[in-house]
Amino acid sequence: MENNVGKKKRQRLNKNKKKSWRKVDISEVEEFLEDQRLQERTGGLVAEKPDDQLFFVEKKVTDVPKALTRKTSRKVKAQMKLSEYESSQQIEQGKIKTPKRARQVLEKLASGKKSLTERQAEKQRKTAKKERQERLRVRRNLPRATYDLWADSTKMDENEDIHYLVVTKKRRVNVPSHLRDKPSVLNAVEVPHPGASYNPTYEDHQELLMKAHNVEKKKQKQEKRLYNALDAQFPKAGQAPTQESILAEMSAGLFGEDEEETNVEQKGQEGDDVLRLSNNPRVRREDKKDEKQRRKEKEKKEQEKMLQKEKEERIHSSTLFRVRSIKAEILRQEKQLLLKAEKRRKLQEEKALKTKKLGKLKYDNPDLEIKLSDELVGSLRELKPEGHLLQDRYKSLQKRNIVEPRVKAKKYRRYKRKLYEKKTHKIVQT
Amino acid sequence: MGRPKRKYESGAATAYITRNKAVRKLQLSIADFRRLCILKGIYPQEPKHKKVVGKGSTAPKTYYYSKDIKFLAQEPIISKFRDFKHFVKKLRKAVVKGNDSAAQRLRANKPKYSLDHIIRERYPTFTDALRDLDDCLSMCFLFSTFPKTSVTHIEFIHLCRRLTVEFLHYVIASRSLRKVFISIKGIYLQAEVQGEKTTWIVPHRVGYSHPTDVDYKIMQTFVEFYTTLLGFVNYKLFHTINLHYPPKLELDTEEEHVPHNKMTKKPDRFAEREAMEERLAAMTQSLKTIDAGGGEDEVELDEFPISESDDPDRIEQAKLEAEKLKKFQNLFTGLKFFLNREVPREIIVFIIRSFGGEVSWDFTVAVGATYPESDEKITHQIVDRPNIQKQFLSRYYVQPQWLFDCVSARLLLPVEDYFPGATLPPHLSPFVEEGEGDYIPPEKRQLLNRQRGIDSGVGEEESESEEEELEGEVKGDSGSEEEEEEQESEEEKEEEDSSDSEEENVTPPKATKRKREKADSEKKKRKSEDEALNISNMSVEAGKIEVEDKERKLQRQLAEEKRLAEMMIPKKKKRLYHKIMYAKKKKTQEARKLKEKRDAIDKAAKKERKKARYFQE
Repeated sequence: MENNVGKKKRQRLNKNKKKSWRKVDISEVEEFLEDQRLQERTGGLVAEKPDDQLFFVEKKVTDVPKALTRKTSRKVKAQMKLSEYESSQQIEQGKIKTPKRARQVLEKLASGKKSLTERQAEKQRKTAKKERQERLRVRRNLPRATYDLWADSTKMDENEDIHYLVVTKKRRVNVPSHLRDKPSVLNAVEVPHPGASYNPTYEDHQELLMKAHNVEKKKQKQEKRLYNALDAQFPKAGQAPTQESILAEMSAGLFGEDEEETNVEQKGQEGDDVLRLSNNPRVRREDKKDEKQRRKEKEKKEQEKMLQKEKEERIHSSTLFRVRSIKAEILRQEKQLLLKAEKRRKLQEEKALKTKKLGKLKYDNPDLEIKLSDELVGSLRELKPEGHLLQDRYKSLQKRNIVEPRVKAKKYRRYKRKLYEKKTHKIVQT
Repeated sequence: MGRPKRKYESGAATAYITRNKAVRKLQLSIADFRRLCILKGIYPQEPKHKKVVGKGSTAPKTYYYSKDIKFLAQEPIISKFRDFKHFVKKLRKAVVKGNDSAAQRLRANKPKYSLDHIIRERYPTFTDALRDLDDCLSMCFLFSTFPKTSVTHIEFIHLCRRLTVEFLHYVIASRSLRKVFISIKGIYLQAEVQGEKTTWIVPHRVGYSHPTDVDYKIMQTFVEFYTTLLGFVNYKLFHTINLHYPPKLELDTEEEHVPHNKMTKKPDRFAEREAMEERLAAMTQSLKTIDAGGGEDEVELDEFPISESDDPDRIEQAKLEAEKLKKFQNLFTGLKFFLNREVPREIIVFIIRSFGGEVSWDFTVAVGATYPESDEKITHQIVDRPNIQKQFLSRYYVQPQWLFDCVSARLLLPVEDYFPGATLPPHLSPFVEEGEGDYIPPEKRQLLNRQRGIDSGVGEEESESEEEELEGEVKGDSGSEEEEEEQESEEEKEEEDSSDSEEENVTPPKATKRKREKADSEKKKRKSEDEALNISNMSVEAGKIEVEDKERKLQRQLAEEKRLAEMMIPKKKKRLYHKIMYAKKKKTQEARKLKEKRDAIDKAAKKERKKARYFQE
């Protein structure tokens, strides 16, 4: 096959016929023979001649090529020298083994696979870029004040807007008068206690600790009270007093050895009491009042009434002479009223500082933020802040009657979730 | 007469309305109702007679005024809330069906609402808005420190950050910061914005954890309202002191720094704005004013002819106050600070700049550094580490508390107590103002004395008291101890001397006040000696202008007036007056007792220390 590539395809002809002889291409052979004959005519075959008859050594420089001028040659020379040196310095391949780690790295590089860190880095780069773009997009859309809101202080009242009145035929509701009143007299940002400084004085810090201590004590007292009222009343079955223990406790130290006798006596008395139905004296027929007695009683009552009336009239008629004492009485009353008013005013003032109950839940003061004496570091760098400001702000809003206290609603399921056991695997409960 | 009204048809029963009823009346969801109430400033009420309002039932419920709800009903934002509800419904449907183009279209037409008119309604004048700034600032500063999480909203965080930075720039430019207090909870700041005292709290920079028991939705609604308010307030404030409102930096180097977009080879406007905002947040540069080159005029107090005004002393006093304030506002002027990387940068930069100081930090820490650490003109370097490797002789190394205490004291305190590694004096609250006769702890008393100019530095006081103690001990103890103690005191003296010499070597820009006064006292001493010598032989000296102490004279006059006023009290009220004075006296007595206690404690502590030292030796 390979031989046929350069040549023409051989024609398959019958050579026993003269007609087909002419079709054979013999020009190549003829050319070769012609060339040989020419060589023989002009002084022998070239292939048989020796080298020195064919070539000569040129001794005269005729034309220098441009590439070999002095400047370039210097450069080339330097290059050559360098390359010579390099080649001399180079260690023959195969003599030194590439270290294992290097080989691994080279192989990895050659394979074109990326390492874990590279992949991670790529991912991070992508997310960072995305985030940045998002940030920029967000910033572009942020609102910005572009005019003075309070420029014209005499803005038209909305109720004078004639267009609105004509179109809607309705007056707008007036702004409530208390809209601009604050719901509480308390300050939005309460001034901190000096003991809450990150590096407080001894006195201030102790004062703050005392404050926190008192709050905690109060709480514990309340807890104890609740416990006494509830849990202590219903002890657990094991600790609950039994009939015997009560009896033993009640009669502790009362009786000596003659315990049984007294017990019997007591039982007898108790039996008597049980028999009686009422504690009132018994009603008898003889005790019934007759007509006369009733009349006498009535007369006596009327007499008393009359006397009382007479007495009152007498007193009333004599009040004229009591003007001074009445005056004093009035004065006293007025004084009392004033005192009462003062008291009420004080109560109201106190109430203004307290938080109202705005919903189901009562506002609960958050715990005081304190640092114990051994937690104080006295250096800004090592300071660990106490409390959370978001919480502080939220509680402050609640305290100032702006938001009612709430608890997060629990998520609950109306129906219990059904559990199925799949055939493929069993749920193993631990 | 019409028909008589039945029970619960008038009065308290109709004046209040329960929350559920209100929600039904406004046809809103409960969440939207809450939002609306917060935005409009309508709060729940506690009725006086619950049984009447509850129509016989006293079950605890949340009530509102019926009139308030009527007022809410005409608010145009309600329709926007409804639109938003529909938008969400449509969008969800489109997303679920995979109808991307519809979703995109809907998103582009998301209903929006503005709160401008509500702000105008709630705060009819600018002063009203300024009065309610406490809550607004605290909330915005808090939100600006939040990270981006699934709960927090990135828009509000960015917005709060921008607005708070703008506000801080205003405070810096108007020099209106008055008080700083570092508490364990956060940093309390107080500024006087156009005569209104505004207090706010800034959280410490620490890792954020989301509290579980806070209703974040409510807080976000508040922030939504407050950001709008703060935007308008900033606009107005910037214009009152002639600043561009989207603030511009004075040295505008925008052209050089504009980063180019790699793809389009055009200047990247977003990146540019971001870079600009970062440089703005650095707060090292001042802002461009609207009238270029005009500068701020010096505000002079009006001069009234004395004969016209009824009280000449008051004018004098006002002048003194103004002078003091101006001095306070320029507390750090001329000082150059450098911050180490461990100090809380933002708050410190803000404080330094709002009292006229210059500040910089290592340029690898953050954008906006203006000069390197090697700058020879730096006077103070703020350091919060016990030891530093490389120190420059030309500057003081102080702990950050020095700055806060200087602001509280309204004067530059001696730096010796605040050197790195030193045990810091307590950080006192500037919000506490002691009344007459109250107990004042010794630390505070020292500070007050300093403010009045009666400067008895700590070191002097201590050494004095120690010497006294020495004498006391000497009486009781043997001679050998005496010698040792003498040595000690000598050493102390040497220490003092060396510290003095250090000061001289360092040559700070301003000699400390303390030193100056020492020199004064020395001069006086010499003078008195001279006088003692010159009794016999007469001599003539150059005359001296007697300096009139205005404040002292004023005080003396006030005391005289008070005495006269006391004499004029009628007999009827004299008893009351005496009562008040008695109460005051008692208070002072108590304070004295406390002081004695404290002194005893201090003395005991000192003795202990001394003993410990003695045994060590």
